[in-house]
Amino acid sequence: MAVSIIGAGESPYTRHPQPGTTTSRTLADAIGRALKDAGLTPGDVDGFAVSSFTLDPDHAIDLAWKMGFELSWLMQDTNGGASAGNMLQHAVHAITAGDASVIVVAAGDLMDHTAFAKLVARYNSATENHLSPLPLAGPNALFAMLTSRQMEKFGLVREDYGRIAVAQRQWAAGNPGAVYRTPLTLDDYLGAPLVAEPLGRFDCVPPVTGADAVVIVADERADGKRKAKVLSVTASYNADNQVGDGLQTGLRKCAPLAWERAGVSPEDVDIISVYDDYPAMVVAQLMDIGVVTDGADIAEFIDTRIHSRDLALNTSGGQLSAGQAGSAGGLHGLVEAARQLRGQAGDRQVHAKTAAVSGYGMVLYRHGSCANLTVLEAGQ
Amino acid sequence: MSAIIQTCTNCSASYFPARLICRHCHGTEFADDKADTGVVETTTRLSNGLQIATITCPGDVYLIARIIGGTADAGDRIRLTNDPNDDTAVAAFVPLHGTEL
Repeated sequence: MAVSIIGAGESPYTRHPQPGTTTSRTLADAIGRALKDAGLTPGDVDGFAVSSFTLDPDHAIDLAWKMGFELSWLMQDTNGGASAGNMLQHAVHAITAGDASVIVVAAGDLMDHTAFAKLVARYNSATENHLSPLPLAGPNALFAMLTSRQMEKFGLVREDYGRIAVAQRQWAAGNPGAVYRTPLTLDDYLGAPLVAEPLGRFDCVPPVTGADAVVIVADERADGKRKAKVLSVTASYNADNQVGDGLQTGLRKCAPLAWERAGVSPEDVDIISVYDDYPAMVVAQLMDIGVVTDGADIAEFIDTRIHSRDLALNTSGGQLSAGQAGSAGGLHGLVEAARQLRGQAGDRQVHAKTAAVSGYGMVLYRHGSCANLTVLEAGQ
Repeated sequence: MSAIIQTCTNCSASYFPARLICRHCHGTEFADDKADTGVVETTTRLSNGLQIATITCPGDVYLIARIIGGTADAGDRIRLTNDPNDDTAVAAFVPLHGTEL
């Protein structure tokens, strides 16, 4: 595989979008930034992939038309927090097969209060028929119960999850694009109102309006440019049929092959973006990708590696501090990894040669069903 | 007013929410079955005061329910109902399984 990311962009995240903001314009803004970062123009693009919950009634082709993309490859993705890995997996193969040479992968949403309420009420038919009538508005209760199961199974307490939120907020201080950058203390975390016990306000991602985009090209087009080479992308969908405790994600199935193909081991990877819809899912995914080994003292790992920021984890602040821009949530971590590997991370820059990015998403009834892992390497 | 569970008419595997193909025998014919009780596996209390629970039933069936008519603890055997007003005694409200897929 000889395919690299040579540009990344993010439309500024905002909790309260200005009147007149649209999903299409937000996506176009992120795409424009990514192309500028890559030193390319819309005329160079021949492949386009997009994921959005709020593009309706438009589709990928409408965006392509309105941005003037003339394409030989086009896809639209519906996998939420796992959309980035899915689109990247397809894009890599499209470039390798010669179907396209410059692919823009984008995701984003206008996620104001009305859009968020509409999305969570009709997320899928199972939600519409069996969760919304409870009534339940969104997945907080489901992940509260998942968190309780994880606490009981591994002997974790609220402070352990709080240390993850506090560390991510510290990373966010170095990211001008994060919506929450004010330092968060463990007391702030523990004292915040409960949303669904044991989850408090700082366990839940703030919905934001925004979009992310990356530009992917064959390596021969990336000569002389700072790049994040894609070493591997693997995926797992519907790994457990929604049966069981939800404490293992599809990453448990697909991560070993991603590491093997990349020739990188989980203990050696320099920076990690895991899909952080809730701190419990950060723990679950770090275990599933092998960064936290089975049987390890998880509380000690959180304290000595994550809370200390010895481990470069979710260095943008993650969704917990930067915000969750709908379906851009998965792409946010990929943009951050590309920026770190390309030396563009500003005050939060770490020395990094390799990166891993996980995607996780689409709660069918009880927990997420889609997962993927991408391994990247810095190159010139 | 029990919860309604989907059952494969060929191999009796149970599902909730309803599926299109039985993942055990690959059959496509299903019937509705009543489930009168289940066991509370996990609960959470929302900021609006509602208690939400995960309920287990035989055959790897997991239901997300709202506790009505009282409160429930993990390990309790609890009555299941598809009527949110059936709250004269403690029960787990499980919105009706629809046949539409």
